[in-house]
This record gives sequence, structure tokens and C-alpha cells, in this order.
Amino acid sequence: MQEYAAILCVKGIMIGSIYALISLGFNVIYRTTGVLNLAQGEFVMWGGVMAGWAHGIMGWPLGGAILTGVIGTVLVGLVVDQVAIRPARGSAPVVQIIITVGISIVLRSMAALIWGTEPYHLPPIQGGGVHFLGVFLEYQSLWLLGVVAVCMTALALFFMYARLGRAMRACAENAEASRLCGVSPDRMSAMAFGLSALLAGLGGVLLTPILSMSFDRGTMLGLKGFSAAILGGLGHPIGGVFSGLFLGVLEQFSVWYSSVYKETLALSIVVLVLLFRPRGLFTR
Amino acid sequence: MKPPEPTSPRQVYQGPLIFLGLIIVLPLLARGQYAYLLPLAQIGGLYAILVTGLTLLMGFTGQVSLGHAGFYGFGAYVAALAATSWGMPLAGAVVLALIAGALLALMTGFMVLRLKGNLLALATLCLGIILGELFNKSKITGGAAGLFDLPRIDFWGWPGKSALAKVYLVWAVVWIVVVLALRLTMSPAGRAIQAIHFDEEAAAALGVPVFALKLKIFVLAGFLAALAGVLYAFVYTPAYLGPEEFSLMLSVMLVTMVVLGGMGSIWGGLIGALVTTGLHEVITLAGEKIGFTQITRFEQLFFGALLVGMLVFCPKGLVPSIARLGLRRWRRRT
Repeated sequence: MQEYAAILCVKGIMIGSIYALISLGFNVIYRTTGVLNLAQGEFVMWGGVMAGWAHGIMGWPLGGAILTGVIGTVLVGLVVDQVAIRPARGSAPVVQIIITVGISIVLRSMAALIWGTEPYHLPPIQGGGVHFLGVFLEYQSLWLLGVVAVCMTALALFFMYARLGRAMRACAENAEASRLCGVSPDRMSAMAFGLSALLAGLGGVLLTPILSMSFDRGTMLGLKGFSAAILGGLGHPIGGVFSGLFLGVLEQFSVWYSSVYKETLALSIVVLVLLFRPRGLFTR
Repeated sequence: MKPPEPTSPRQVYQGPLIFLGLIIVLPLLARGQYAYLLPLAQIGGLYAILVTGLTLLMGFTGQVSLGHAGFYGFGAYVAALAATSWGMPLAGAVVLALIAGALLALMTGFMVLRLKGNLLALATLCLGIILGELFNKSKITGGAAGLFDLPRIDFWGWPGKSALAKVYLVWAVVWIVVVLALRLTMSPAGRAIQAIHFDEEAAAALGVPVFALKLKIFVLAGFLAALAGVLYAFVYTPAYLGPEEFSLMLSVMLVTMVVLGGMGSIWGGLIGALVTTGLHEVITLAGEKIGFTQITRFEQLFFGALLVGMLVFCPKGLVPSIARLGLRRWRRRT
């Protein structure tokens, strides 16, 4: 029983770290542009599928495939920003949210048309694993966790101290004023989408060896990621990361009760948090 | 947004009467090789009902629902379950489903309408997905297999199995809904909800009960969704109800229809629903003709791109823009 709980816990943290990565990307865009990008999960899917395609179909080495996945996703992010987000800069937030829903549908169906509906696989970066407290830990999951930890720290420092990071934050605060100070909101928005797509691409590439990736996986991943972002409080990346991990573990334990309502549970929590604590669980 | 113009009495009666004429005449033309258009007209009618509710909510009150397919499915499932598992008579099932749809909207609306803008969109999106998951996975709803042997709405043998009669039944309901919706938008309450869209605080300062009105419109939209659901379960389907119809994709499609129609005109929404349903059929037929197996994916791509393109480049809506263009040409000529 105890061992079972430990396994669920470890698996939950592993899945949760993906949610954490997605919520990070979500927050990067939100903090810069004020847009809630519901297409974030599709970025993850594109990263995984592109890497899987490069390795499985084209036969490129793993390193090249990973690079393809990540760089490809960044390009997708930049194109999305250029084509759909930048021209709609002035519209109401609600309109922008519906635009991102539309983008997610476009990205999903486009992936199915280009790469087919079969799931793609990737070999792990490092095979095998270690035994830790009686639980078998794959090295791949540790890689994932490590990447999330590094990204979180780097982003926190970037937004706190780097000139560019502060400029990006200034844009969300007041686009007009930041333009007067020589910070172009358009360029910052492109930066945010590129950065956020980079995070998502990394997530996709690291997740594919564990769960495999197909065109329809992105939506649910994205929803969980944004659930984590809401739970942690919008615009609070660190809270989002911890909520992601929490959500992952919670989801695994809910399987104990019934595996059917995993998604329902996560989304119900989001609705409740939106209603009773719209500023999130981890902010004062 | 401009404050609405006063409407002359002639305009008030002209539209619905022409519309009634079209409803009576157009289905008669769908004969012979065009008979396949009749089921399409039925589902188009259901979407017209849904979109009318959503237009009132989005276009007039300025509140978004990204989970409308959930309410639609809720109505359909309550009606179907009441008539089969709970053994209620058909009329009872219909009434129960309508009340349940309104009640669900009342409860959820009471909670989520306190949220504004973005967060409201997210909350309704979540609600829609939760409802969809329940339809898909719950034992009560029959899960992915669905429910079978539903009764049919039947007035002494009418509409029976005739597709034409079903079209008339559905569009009779559409006509009533549209006329009532038009009346609502021209009533003092209708002007008040437009004031909410225009400026919520100013409306509140002028004595408009903002929250109560928002909630009323949300309940009305939920009721209309349940009505469409009842018609879906008891008229449109071949005595079977499955969860595929009530997906997130449909919620997005409904929003697309409202956006196409210009978000703020009952007639526009109606045309948006019909254009979208028609486009769906055209794309499916074209796909069959060229033997393209991935046509549903292409269709989703198309409608997703249409939604994004509309909101980015033509946020006033396609129908009003084309109408304005046509009007300008016509004026220039005369």
C-alpha cells in the first residue's frame, strides 16, 4: 500500500512537472502581453511530434531531433504571435482569448494533417533509472524535473534582474508608457511567445519518451497547465510551478478512487478557485 | 459601439414575416436530389436556436460562454434519460429538461457571472469541458456508447418520419425563438442589457440591475440551449443520443457563428449559423468527391482559421460587413 502511494507520488510529480513547465510558459506570455494563451498545450504537442517525426521517420540522431522539436516550436510560437496576436493587440481580452482557442484548433488539426494521427515515440535521453526509497525512477523523469527546476530559476532571475525581463514585465503593466521609454511592445510580445514556445517545446521533447505524443494530446496538457497557472495565481510563475506539481500528484491519487474523472477533477478545482480565490492559492 | 437606433414599427413586422415566408417556402424546394439538405436544415435550425441565445449573451450583454455545447448536451441528456431510464412520459421529459437547463444555467451563472472578461471565459470553458467529460464517461449517460430507443416527438402522427415535417417543426420553434428574442432586444430590458455591454458601471449608476440582468440572460441562453438539446434528442437523431455532438469544438463553432454574424444582431447570428452549417456540408461533400480521408481535420483547420481571421481582421463580423458593403454599392448606384 505504502509502496503504491510512493509510486503514485513519483509519477504525479513527473506528470506535474510538465504541467509546471506549461504553466510557466503561460505566465511568461501573460506577464508580458496580458494574453491568456490557451494554445500553450498545442506548442508542447508540436515540440514532441516534430522531434518524434525527425527521429522516427527521418532517422535523425536524437540530439538533432530534440533541437528540431525545440527550434520548430519556437518558430511556431513566433509565427502565431506575428499572424494572430500582434494584429489583435488592441482588442478586448475576451476576444484575444477566443483567438487563442481558434489558434489551438488550427495547430491541432494542422499537426494531424501534416504528421498524421499515429502517436510518435522517442528514445529517452538516458535509459534506465535508479531505485530511490523503493521506487524505480527513470532517468528521463529526473531530466524532466531538472529542466523544470532550471527553467523556473532562470526565468525568475530573468524577470527580476535582466533588463529584457524587466522590459517585458513593463509591457504588461503599461504598453503605452513602455513604448515611451523605448521598449517596443511588439518586440516584447514576440520575445514572450518565442520564450514560452521554447519552454513548451522542451516540455514536449522531454515528455514524448515517457508518454509518446500524438496530435490530440496537446489540448488536455494545455488545460492542465493553465489550471496550474490559475491555481498558482495568474502572473505568479513560481506559484504556478508548485500548483503544477500539486495537480499532478492529486490527479494520480484520484486514480485510486476512479480513473474516469481525472480531467473533471482538475477543472472543477479550477472553477472553484476562480470563484472563491481568483488570485490563486499561493499568493497573499 | 453606438447606442441602438429606435426601430420603426414597419421594421418590427417586416423581418419576422419575410422570415416566416422563407421558412415555409424554402424547405419545399429541397426535393429529389436535394432531399439530403433536409436533415442539414434541421441541425441548422438547432444551431440557430443555440446561437440566438448566445448572441443575446455575447453580443448584447457582453458576457462570453465558451461552454455552450455543455448546456446543449445537458438538455438533451436530461430529456433522454427522463424518457428512458426514469420512465417519464414524453411531455414530462421535455418540460423537465427545459427546467433543468434553466436551473443549471441559474446555478452556474449565479457563480461564474461574478467573474469578468478573461476569467469568465475560462470558467465557462471549464464548465463546458466538465459537462462533456460527464456525458462521455459517466455510467448514467451511457458513456461513449450513448442512449438508445429514445421516443420521438409526435403530435398524432406528425412529424412522424418525414424529414420535411421535422424541418417545419424545428424551424417553427426557431421562428418563435427569434421573434421573442427580437422583441426582447427592443424592450426596455433589452436596451438595459445593451447598456451593460456598453459600460457596466455607467449602467449600474443609471439604475440598471446589472448582475440580475446578466443572470437572467444567462438563464435564457441556458434554457434555449436545453430547448435545442431536447429537439436534438427527440427530433433530429434517429432515436439515439451520443456524446460526440457536445464537444468543445461545438462550443467554439457556436462562438464562431456568433462572431460571423457580427456579435450583436439576432439576424446576423441566424445567418452565421446557417452559413457555418452550409460550409460544413460543402467541405464534407468536397472531401468525399476528391476522396480526401482527413476531411474532418481540414474542416477544423478551416473553421479555426476562420474564427481567428474574423476576430483579427474583421471583428465587426462578416455578415454586417458584407451587408454594409452591399448597401454602399446600392446607394451609390441609385
